[in-house]
Amino acid sequence: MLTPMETLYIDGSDVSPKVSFDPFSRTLELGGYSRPENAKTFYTPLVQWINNFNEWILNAAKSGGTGEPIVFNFKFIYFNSSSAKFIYDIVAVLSSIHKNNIPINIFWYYDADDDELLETGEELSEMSSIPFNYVPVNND
Amino acid sequence: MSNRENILGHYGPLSYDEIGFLLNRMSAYVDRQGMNITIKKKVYSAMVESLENVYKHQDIINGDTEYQPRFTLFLDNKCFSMFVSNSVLNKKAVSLKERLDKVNQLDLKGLKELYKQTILSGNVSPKGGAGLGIINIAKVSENKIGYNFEPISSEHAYFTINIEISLK
Repeated sequence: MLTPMETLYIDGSDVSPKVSFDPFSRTLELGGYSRPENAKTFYTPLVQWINNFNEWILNAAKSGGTGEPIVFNFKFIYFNSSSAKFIYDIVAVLSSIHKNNIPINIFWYYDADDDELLETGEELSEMSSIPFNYVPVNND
Repeated sequence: MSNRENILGHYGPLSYDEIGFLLNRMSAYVDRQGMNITIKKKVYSAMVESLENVYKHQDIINGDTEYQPRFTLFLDNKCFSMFVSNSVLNKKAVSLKERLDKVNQLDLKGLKELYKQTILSGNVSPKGGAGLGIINIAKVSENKIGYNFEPISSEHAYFTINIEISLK
């Protein structure tokens, strides 16, 4: 029995990230600025969605469904420390998907001049034991 | 002698919208000065963490006009320096002081390790904080965090944090 999945889309703003989670194309994206007034309120539904997606994908795999690899694009410009905990929670679920041998590619976009954002991605990858692909972006 | 310029300030109860207004003014100033993105993001990050901390934890004293939240950003030829103040309950001061002393004893490697441990083990408080803000401030400033608790009454103190971000 597959868990029903729906696309989750939230417009970005100068305080909260753009969210585009499409289970059918298997392409998920989170990016922009993240310093929502209450990080817990903003991110809890996202973490819940990713957990449901994990279950949905596992069930599909058990039923013989393979499909294209999942693509997760992190395109953050900035996120505050309250958001960091939840971004880690999302990466931890992606790591669980990876450990279940479901093909998944994670892309971590960062401003080519922003070493700290690159380093944060490297730390998240190390903490969750899942490889990231790093994509520098030139904002000239 | 360095010429210290006061480039941004706020005094009074701090709203969430006011934080965005202060960030926009700082960003516009840094852009006008042609400073690099690393400095801008460090100042941005230190402002977000310290101002959100005030926003979430400001223990406003009823009827008081002397000890309300205060934010000041200075620039001289060596660094940005911000002073952020708010009244806090004395009972919260002890744990706050312990956390500041702890991060001030750590080098960058130690701070990164503490940041990771806190993310891995940290629970998020009812106000949405994850206990990472002070560590993040220490990481971006790379200078010791200055602080002071000025006694107000048997219940409250006026807490001030001083963050310096070098222009290098």
